[in-house]
Amino acid sequence: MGPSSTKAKRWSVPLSGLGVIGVIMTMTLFGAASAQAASDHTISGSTFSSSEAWYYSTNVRTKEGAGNITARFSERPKLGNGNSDLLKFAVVEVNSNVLIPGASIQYFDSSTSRTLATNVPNAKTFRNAYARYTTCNNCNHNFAGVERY
Amino acid sequence: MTVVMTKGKAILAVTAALLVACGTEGAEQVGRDYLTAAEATTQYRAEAKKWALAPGWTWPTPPYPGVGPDGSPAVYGLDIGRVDATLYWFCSWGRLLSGATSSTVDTNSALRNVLRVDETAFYRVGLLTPDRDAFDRDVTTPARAGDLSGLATFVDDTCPATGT
Repeated sequence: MGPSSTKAKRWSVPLSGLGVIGVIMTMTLFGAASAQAASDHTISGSTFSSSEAWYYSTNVRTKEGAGNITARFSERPKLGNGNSDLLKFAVVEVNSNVLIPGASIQYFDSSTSRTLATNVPNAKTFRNAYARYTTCNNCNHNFAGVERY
Repeated sequence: MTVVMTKGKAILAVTAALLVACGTEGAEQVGRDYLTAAEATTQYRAEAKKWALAPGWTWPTPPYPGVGPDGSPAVYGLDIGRVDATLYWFCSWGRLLSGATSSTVDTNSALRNVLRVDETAFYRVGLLTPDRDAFDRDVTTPARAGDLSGLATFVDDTCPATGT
């Protein structure tokens, strides 16, 4: 069914047509908003080895819509006893690798969402930097979660 | 001397084995590897030699001090020098083009360079797919059509004000 037949059907039945119009309007509005709105991005990786050294990602990310950058992690590096270590996480400037304005280092000790930076303008680029908090030999260094920007 | 070098190599090998590092945190995994600050700096400078900056711009000191935001040691992702150098190159031409008000600026030349961004490591390696799509949508596609507003926003939010 092509666009024209969809349009014809949309206007031919008043009540159901209103529903279709509503769906179409909703989709249109959603589509327009999503172009400039923050969204969730799945992230995963490993901190640098057994030490607490930071790892600066190569990836360049772009803020969509002005606002905060947040993250939450369902998996964090492990300690020797199997408990999760703190995950240090920060968002930094691409051109200088210093914290972007409004950003602070966050220490993730649970799966709760935390704010990495506030009032970030639309189209601002940044990269992630992260580290485990505790030196741990032969431990799992992986993390996984969602970053919203 | 031979003994010292052998020990050194052994130490390096052990260190490298211990320092099993790091994946990127996007949807993709690029492998478990890293660059030291010195390696990232070398890579940046090597990449910089391949790209001519806009008039009035000079290359900065590569931004790899080897420490993190809290002063702890730091390492860097593979290709970070290539990505950062080409982003800086793009910034130089993007800043020139988006701020062009003088007839002395060759806007055609600047636009040609801006649109070469898809040849860069910044675009090809640094940007993940959704971010690359957004960059195309907001910056390069409008620029190609003569609308530089997205480019101006990008350089204002991301690039140095000047390149000197």
